[in-house]
Amino acid sequence: MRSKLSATGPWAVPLLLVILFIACSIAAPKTFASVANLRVMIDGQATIVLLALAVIVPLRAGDFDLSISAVMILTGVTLGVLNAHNYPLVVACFLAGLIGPVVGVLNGLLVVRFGIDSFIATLGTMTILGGLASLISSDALITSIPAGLTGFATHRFLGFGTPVWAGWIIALLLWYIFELTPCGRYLLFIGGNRSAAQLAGLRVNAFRQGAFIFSGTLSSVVGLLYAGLLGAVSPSAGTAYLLQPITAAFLGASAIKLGRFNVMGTLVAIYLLAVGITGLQLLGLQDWIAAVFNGACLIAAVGFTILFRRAASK
Amino acid sequence: MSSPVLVLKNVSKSFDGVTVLHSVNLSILPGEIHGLVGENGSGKSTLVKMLGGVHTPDRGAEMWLRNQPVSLPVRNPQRKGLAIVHQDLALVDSMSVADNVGIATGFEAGLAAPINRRREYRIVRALAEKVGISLDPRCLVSELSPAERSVVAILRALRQLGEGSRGNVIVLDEPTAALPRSESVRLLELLRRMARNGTAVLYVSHRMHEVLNVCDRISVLRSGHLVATRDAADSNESEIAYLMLGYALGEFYPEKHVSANQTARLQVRNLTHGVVSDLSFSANVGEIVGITGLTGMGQDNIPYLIAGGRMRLNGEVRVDGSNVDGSVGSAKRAGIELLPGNRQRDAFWLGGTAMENLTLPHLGKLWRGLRISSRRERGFAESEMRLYSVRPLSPSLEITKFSGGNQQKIVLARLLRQNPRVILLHEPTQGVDAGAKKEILNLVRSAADEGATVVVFSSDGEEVAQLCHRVLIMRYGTVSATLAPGEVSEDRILSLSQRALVADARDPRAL
Repeated sequence: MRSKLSATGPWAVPLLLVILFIACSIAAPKTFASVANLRVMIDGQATIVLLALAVIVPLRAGDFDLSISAVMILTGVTLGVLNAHNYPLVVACFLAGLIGPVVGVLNGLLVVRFGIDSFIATLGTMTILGGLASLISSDALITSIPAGLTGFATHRFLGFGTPVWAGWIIALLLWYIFELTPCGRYLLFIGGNRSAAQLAGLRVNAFRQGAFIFSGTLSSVVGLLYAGLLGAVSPSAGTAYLLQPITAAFLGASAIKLGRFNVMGTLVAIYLLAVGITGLQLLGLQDWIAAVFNGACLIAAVGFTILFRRAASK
Repeated sequence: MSSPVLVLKNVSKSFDGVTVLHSVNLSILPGEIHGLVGENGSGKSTLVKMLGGVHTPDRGAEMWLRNQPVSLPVRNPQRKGLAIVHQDLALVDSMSVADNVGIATGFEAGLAAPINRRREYRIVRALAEKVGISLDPRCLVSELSPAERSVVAILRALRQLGEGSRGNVIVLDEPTAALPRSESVRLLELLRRMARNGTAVLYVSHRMHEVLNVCDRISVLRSGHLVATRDAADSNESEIAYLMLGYALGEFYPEKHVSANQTARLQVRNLTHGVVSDLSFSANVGEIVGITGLTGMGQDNIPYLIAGGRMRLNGEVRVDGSNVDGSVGSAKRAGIELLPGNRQRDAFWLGGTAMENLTLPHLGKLWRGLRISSRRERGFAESEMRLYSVRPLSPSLEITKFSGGNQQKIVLARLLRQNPRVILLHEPTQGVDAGAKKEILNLVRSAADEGATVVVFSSDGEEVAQLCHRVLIMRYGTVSATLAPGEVSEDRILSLSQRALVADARDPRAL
């Protein structure tokens, strides 16, 4: 009984992705199962993939980072404002890109040094960054994105845009670090049992601080790509990009490596949600289905993981 | 003879085809203290969890409480007069003693009714008095020692049952595992008093002498079979050990070799923080020093003040002359390794496998060609687990699936493989069965024979007496007596610990 369950458990979400993909292809052969649609789906998830990769690093070390999407938006807005003031492209990108590492250091200080709960501390920084984005943009849509950046971000290689490739390359890198290096294992220990990690001699605070700097820095990079991709940044768009990556991270933790935040599971989760939502919309359902489907999938996946475990230990 | 208060018939339990209980039959009489012994993995905990309704027994099992058949799985056992104190106590650290005790009965108040604190405190103090222990009900559970925590869990069970009600059954799963003998004696007295009032006690323990002393009858589990039920009066330690293991245990404690090397390696001077005040001691190369005392005398804090990253107010620690500032990093550089007393909390990542927990500090050695070689990691874990006879020998099994003794062997393997110069052991055999205890003590002894300095912080007087060359007895944070080689005996340790208590009987801090 258990051997069957624990063998299928990790693969339930990937399997669901395959089944859903085939079902949608059969239901809507002309619209869903087309190269154009596939490309749109993958392109459309590029930002979410990158933000989810940013957020799983601190999550693996046991900390939330809710400021990722706010960093992304503030970076984009700052870039636009700097460009409007005629800063050269490289300088503007560099200065705007500094926001992420600085916020990462700040989050780390609040959480690691002062000991504020990560959920609360980053909720605070997220809110502050949102306010700053409003301030420097005067609450207006920022369209002064440098053309050079737009060109870079919308460049296509083998049919996919730069953000998609950036996401896949970083995913590969993180997968390597998580699964094959001591660093990935240390993060798991720190996230799993901080006091044991400390007594085992791991530099727990350094790793947690580093995880925040990583998520902040990657979020800033995402901000630059996002601004380039869309050519405009709305200062209030932050919250729209917060819940999806976190949903995907938790959904990903119930796939492939059960109970652990992992890269492949997160990717599968993102594409599962994209396929499901696109399929349902092509079948004629309205936009509301996206939110309902996201939430239902998260609850279902985490719920099933718990059921698998319970069945295995009862 | 009156009819049994609890009857189990044909209770089997298998997990995924592996049978851990084979049609166990057990009956417990009212007013009886019934011992249940067996090695780790023999099925004791499974049986206890089945009584608590955590596990559902396989088909065909029957259970009666006070001659009433109980439908399985058991629901609300305490309402039927069956209270269980589980090994993992299930206490909320951030709540007070009174809250932890009161929550079991919903404070005997309506859901929205205010909790009468004074009444709660009174009830808890009264319960504690009966155990002969003074425990501040306002104290947070997180501030308590392991011994005090088990007392809180027992108080809670007592409250669930109500006092003196005939025909109740209380199940204690390893209640004294964390208690020094002098304190467990008081607890055992309480059990006897309860039994005289007609409450039956099912007493699960590793401590054979306790079981033999306190129980009326003893049932022995071996690999899921109930191999025998004996009258305690007609039995003895070696017979029970033989029934548990299936073979004779032999000389239990390893022989003490006295090291010729008299070089002091670990030197602690004027260590002061919290309960610990102005503590000084030293330990030689190849020497095993025991530090013991009654609960709450400060000995539990010392290993963490030396090497656990806990801040200290004052004091100096030196290893071979070089200074250790108390941080984990500097302790590791000096070659100090610490075995924490609470392995679940301080040693393991419980979501990980045995292998992942074992190889944590050794990952550097397993690095080949830009990655951790999974083949090497597995090989390393397997050979270590074989060397330390960890059972089952499956590195990729989750750590939580191993018994306490085997978990402890895994921590010890991880520690010893780092070739420490100084080994600090905090309660090294807590919650470990007799067979594994022997193996662990042998490992500690041979590490000392190879030149490591070992300091054992333990409340188990017997273990300290048998294992250590020299014993320091703690009283209120400092050493009150030292037993030199040749003077060490369990009786001396007990009487010196007790003397500390008697001398300060009026001190409110005396536990």
